[in-house]
Amino acid sequence: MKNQEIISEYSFRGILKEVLSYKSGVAALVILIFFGVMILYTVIRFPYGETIGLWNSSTAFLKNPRNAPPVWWSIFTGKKDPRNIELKFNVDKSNITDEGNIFKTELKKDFLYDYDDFPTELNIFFNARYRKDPPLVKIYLVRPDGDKILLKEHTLRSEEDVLYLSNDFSLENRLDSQVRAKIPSGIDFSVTVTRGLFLKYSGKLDVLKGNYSLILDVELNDANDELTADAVVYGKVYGIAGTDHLRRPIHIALLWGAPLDLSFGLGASLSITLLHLIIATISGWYGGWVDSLIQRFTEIYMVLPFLPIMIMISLFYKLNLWSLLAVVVLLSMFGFGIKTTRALVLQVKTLPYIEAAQVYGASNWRIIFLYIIPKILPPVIPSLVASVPVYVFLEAILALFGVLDPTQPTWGMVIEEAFNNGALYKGYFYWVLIPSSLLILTAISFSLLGFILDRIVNPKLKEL
Amino acid sequence: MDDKLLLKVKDFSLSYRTRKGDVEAVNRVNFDLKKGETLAVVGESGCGKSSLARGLIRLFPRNVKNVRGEILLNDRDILSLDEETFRKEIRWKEMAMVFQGAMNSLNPVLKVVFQVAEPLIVHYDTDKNLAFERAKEVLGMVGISGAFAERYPFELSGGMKQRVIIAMALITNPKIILLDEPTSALDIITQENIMNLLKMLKKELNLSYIFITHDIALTSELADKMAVMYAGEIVELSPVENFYSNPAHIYTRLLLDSVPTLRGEKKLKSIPGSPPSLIDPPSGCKFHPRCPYVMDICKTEEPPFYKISQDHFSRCYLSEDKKV
Amino acid sequence: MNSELLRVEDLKVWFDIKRGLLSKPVYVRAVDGVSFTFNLGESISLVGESGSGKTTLGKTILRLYKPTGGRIIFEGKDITDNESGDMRWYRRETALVQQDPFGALPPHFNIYRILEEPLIINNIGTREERREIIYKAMEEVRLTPVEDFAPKYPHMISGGQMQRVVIARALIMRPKLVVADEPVSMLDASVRVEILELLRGMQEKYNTNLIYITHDLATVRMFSHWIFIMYAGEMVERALTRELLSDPLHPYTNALLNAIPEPDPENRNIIKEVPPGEPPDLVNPPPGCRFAPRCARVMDLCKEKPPELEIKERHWVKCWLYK
Repeated sequence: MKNQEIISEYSFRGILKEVLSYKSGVAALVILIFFGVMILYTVIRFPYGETIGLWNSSTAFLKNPRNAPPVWWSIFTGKKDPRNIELKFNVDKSNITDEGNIFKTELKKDFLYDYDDFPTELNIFFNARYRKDPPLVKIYLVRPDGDKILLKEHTLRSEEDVLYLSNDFSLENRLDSQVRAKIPSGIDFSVTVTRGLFLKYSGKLDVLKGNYSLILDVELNDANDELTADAVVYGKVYGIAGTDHLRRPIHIALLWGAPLDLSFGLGASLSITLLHLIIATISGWYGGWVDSLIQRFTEIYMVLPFLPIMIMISLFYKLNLWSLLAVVVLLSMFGFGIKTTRALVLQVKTLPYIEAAQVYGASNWRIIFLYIIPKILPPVIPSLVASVPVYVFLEAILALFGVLDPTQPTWGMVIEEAFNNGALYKGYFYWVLIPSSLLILTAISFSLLGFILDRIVNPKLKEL
Repeated sequence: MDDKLLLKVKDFSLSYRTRKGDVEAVNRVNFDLKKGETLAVVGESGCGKSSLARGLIRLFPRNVKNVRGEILLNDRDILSLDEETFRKEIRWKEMAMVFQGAMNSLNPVLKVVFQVAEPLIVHYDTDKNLAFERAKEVLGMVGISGAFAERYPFELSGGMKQRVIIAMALITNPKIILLDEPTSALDIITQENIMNLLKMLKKELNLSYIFITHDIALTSELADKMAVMYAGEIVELSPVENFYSNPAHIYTRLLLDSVPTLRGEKKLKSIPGSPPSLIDPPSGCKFHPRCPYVMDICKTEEPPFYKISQDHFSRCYLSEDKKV
Repeated sequence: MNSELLRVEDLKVWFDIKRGLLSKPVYVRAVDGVSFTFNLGESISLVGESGSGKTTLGKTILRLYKPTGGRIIFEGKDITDNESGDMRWYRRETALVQQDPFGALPPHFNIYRILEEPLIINNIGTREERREIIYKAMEEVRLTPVEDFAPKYPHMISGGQMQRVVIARALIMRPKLVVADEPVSMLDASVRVEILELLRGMQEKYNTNLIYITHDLATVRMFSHWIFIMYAGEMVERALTRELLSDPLHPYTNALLNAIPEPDPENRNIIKEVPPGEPPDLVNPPPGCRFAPRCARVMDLCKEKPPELEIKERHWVKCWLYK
């Protein structure tokens, strides 16, 4: 007789089909799948413990350039920016010439340098094992024009030693004189080590492109001594997201930011919504003083200033992500959602099937958890989904306020470090833009999905 | 009763567009109505009777499509009029409607007399005081006297609210009033009161009613003519005199057999199955899947509207032999 | 054989409308002094219009509401004051069939689960035993094939089928007393008969006592021994069905019977005699007979509350006309 409005109990597949029928739904799902793949990849490729260890060590990424933009940033500069070139040298025992006390060998590696810009640094990492005295190494660079330049004559200071050639003053002075000698007409730029080595003597700041060779003349003091060397010609760009001030590849933090941020957002959203659901149902079902008490509590909570409290806490503790989650949940437990959910509960309470359940003996708790909550869950889900980005952004904001423990790489932390290291002053825009874009992408996908779910669950919003 | 034909509906049909397909809500409805005559339209839920009523007064929902046929009011086809003309000249001037559950749609913040006067003020630009006077007059006619006219809807009982709704329909002196389940939310005694009122108004004002209800027994309170609707179609059209005792269409018979009555020792029977989908209706006669007398031809060919006698029609192959 | 099943003594159910934190409480006297008994094996119809208190009475008998006054005695046990803890046994003996089939079924349980709930709550049988019970119940209400219907959800079946599930659920524990509150008023005409027949069939088969609440007197003859007529919170007439229908005594009963539409083509020409006005306000009901303001045969005496008198054998009326 009456045309009942049915609140749909679609199966998962039904909902999926419905979501896909909207273009924005497809977009949202595509983005979410992208995140899913990203998370899967991250968890497999960069296991958590190990990666965090690396992230927080000071020596893990020495072979990366510092503050390098991403590789694709070259689109904006128009130039072909130099990438990292790593040359590995190994002493081959069969190739050692015995000269009495000294055992000599020559290690040579060729490389092609055809970039439009100069390398940012030139460092050599030595790893040696020696019985008595450390080996002596003479380092030469052979340019495409035939020049063979002695970079340095160096005796290793320990078993692990690093030569920061680009910081070497004497080398720099030598190269300076050399360049001025080659270009009598004068130059209008300053000569650094890398510039001096790779300069085309045209008078302008041009790179000499071509095949270079790096030669190491090694003198060992014992036939059984071993030596390996890693020479790095540091590029200007690195990786898919660049590097930060500690030479760390930003993409590691971004990749790990996804599971961390999203699980924070989802965790917060889920726990808070669940708590609201349960508290509101208890409040609405029992009525009386229980209801009044809970409602007054909720109202007090709603008035509490959330952000200032968080900042106050941060004065005393630097929270790690999971403690922050607990604190956020605690501070949001009696939030506004309770009022709206309670309204739903009051409606459901009067439905005939609740009465019927009482007649066949259902207890209060059974009614709350098996009869009321499942019925009010569908209308609550869209807001659950849509509030995930709220918590993700909250984390980012709190990170910016310095509330978070810096050892965990989240998107918010990345942005915070970027700001603290003057990223925007120094032009390292990618450091801020890429994590921000990821945050915005999260917001778009979850909000779209939430909105579409809302249209599905509330048939009145559907358009025919 | 006048012998002049007031309303003639010819092959009136309409459908709704839905996500799952097109719903053929009203399909080739034909009937006549004389001045002062009442047609009762009975059927179960989903048979299309409400859609028919709303269609006649052209209150279509957004997803309506394919409205066809003719509705001749005093020989003028009002279906083909443009919306503006229909609104000015027909709706609430010649035809008014009492909606299902309308008593719950009274504006809670306006006094009752104002709501009854509103059509006059809006449609006819009547002076406010004059309109109020007329409204009080009409309210008196429906049994809401003096003081109650100045009340708000929440101060009135269900029966009184329904009288207000009837007053709202009467105020512009329409010739036809469409009544869509006017008493379904009311108690029996209140229902009888309203029926008495409608009978009285019919007599005094020579009104024509199209009375839509699911309650077959109730129809006898007003009906001169009966129409039975099933799956969007009129399956039987009959004068009331023989209707209850000698229905032609099988569905009508089964319907009458399923209604309990206080007097008489009737053996009640139910109708197996359920009403068909209007998106994908059965072929042939739409009732055939549930008909105990189904024949082969019923499954394939739609039966025509057989004329059994002067005013008696039936859409059933078994009525073919009953032709006079 | 004729053991008393239910005895209700001067039952009052008043609802408190709070007007404000500090003002005096105001009561809606939904049921105001009702007394009756009926025996095992008998069924009654509780007839009245909206606001008569029939639904409240039915639900109070099930102890969904707590009585404000009077007593309810079920099989000799006084259940007026029991708190929910002591009511477990009563829940097994009683059941409710409601008006709105769609609202009466939890939308997130399938039919099997809906029928299993009462069994689980009352610790009946093992998993396998319950399965048998449920399938049998579904067959009894003709929801077959059982395997097809069991996994379905309420929104997938028709109104009539939903009501069958409601009936199956009510009877699955073989209760002694079932209260059916307007069980068919929301169903289509063609389906009503089916459901009423089903109800009657099951009542006969399991000897269940039925309290059938309705405003449609025409359906009453199907299963009731007794008819109780209620008006404005009071029971104005009680008699065996046949007796009441052939010899209605109370003016209200008469009005009710006259008001029922019958399919007679002459009706359109007859203005029926109907009591004017509306039922009284239950917050401030008239002091004497509550029907007096509308009664065509009102007398001075009616300002006093009439007592209940047994006019004929097992036919009680509350009306001064029969003093």
